[in-house]
Amino acid sequence: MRKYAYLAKLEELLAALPAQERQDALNFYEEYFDAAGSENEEKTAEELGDPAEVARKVLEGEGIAAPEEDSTQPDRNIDPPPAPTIDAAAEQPLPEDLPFAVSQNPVPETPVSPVQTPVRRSFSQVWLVVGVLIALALVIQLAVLASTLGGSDGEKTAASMIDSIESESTEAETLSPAPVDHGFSGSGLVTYTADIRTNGRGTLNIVINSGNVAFQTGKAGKIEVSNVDVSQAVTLSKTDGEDSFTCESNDPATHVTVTLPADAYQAVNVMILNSGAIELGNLQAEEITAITAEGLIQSEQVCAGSLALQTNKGSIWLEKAANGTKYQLERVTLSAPQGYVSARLDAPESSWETKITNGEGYSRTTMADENTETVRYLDVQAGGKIDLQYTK
Amino acid sequence: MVINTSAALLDAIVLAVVAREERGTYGYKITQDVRQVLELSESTLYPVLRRLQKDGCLTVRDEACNGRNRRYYEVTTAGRERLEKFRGEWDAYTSQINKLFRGEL
Repeated sequence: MRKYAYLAKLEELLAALPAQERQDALNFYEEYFDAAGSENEEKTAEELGDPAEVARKVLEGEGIAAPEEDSTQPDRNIDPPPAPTIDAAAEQPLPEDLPFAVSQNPVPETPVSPVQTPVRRSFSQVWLVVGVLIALALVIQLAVLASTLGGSDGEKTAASMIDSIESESTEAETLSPAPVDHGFSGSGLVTYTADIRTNGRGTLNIVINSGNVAFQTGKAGKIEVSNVDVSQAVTLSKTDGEDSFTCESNDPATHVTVTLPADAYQAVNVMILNSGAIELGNLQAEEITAITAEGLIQSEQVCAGSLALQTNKGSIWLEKAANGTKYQLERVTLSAPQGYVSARLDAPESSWETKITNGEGYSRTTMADENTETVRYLDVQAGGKIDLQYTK
Repeated sequence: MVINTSAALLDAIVLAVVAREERGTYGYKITQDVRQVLELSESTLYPVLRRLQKDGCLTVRDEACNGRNRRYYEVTTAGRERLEKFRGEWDAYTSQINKLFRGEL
């Protein structure tokens, strides 16, 4: 994991802290990365260890119980997946002339006398700076985005997804919170839990107002909501082809954990309407769509045929996107008009037809190699830095 | 290692490391210095520094370094007093244990 991915994850995990204390901790770890050297970010992240563990210690130190997602969950696979093997050739940096680099030094390099205490830069302000820089370009970006999403056939667009959710939720019954029966006794954190089917067909829709959504791999299909009183705000409707879960709580502490075996559904759609992060984990489904109005979208290794990720205000960190067992990774859309995009794609660069733009005026389209059997489509939009890696 | 480092001992080690630097020192360096004498997970240090700061044993100041901020920690008078007190206890403790191990008790 690189510095900003690490810090973003940490920031999310420290949500329970007051803003000032959270910022102090983030500053400490950002400084730590900086002092260790920008060329050592991966190594430093490894040395610091799992952000969840770091966050747990910080929260404990501040007298706050760590959130449930850390390691208290008995069936959670704590071991990280093996590091993706990327061919050395694919690791090569992007050519020098690409205007991708975003200055990570918004503070001018002027000597400051000890008396004059510089204003500490908030981590989220880094993204804000980027956001401000591209504010004008954004309007154009959004227009382009709308046309691109609307224009690609076979792909579920944000608009159509909202439509299907809204029509669905009108028929949905409101469920009262089910008793917790999976080893959380005494924690009091999980406020709602429900089983979902895993027959490999149909669509799962997750729509929440605010809060985080995290996917994890497990044998049984399950949705859990924690950290908030959801008794009046949660609905789960099950129809033949579609299971739709909604949570209307506006509390940012809302945390939805979805446990699924691989390919439990043909399609999985996630949408956060106001603000919150999406952690896709090792999700596997033929079609995956994840949209948040504001927040980070990240993953470990996701397997999909079609993968569409969009965050209107935030970044996308895709550890790896790969083929599934029954489908090839053919269509990837990554849209972060105000943030960064970092992704590893498990297919040779020559097999992709790409369209890559960012808010700093960079734009490039490439065609797939003529001899490619399966042509794959990649569409990337970012506000700032774009870091794409391909396997051979 | 079978010997555990208690929170109080860790506090004292950190105070001792910071006290060596007259103008204070920063998080990364403190971590590296502590790790020279003690096996310690890198993520352990921040909560210790926070605790010592809250207890009034450390003060912080921010300085610019290569265009970035760096937070320097310095030991306060209260911090030096706590370190001295711990040093005294540590000497008494280790000398007794050492005597026992050497068969002098």
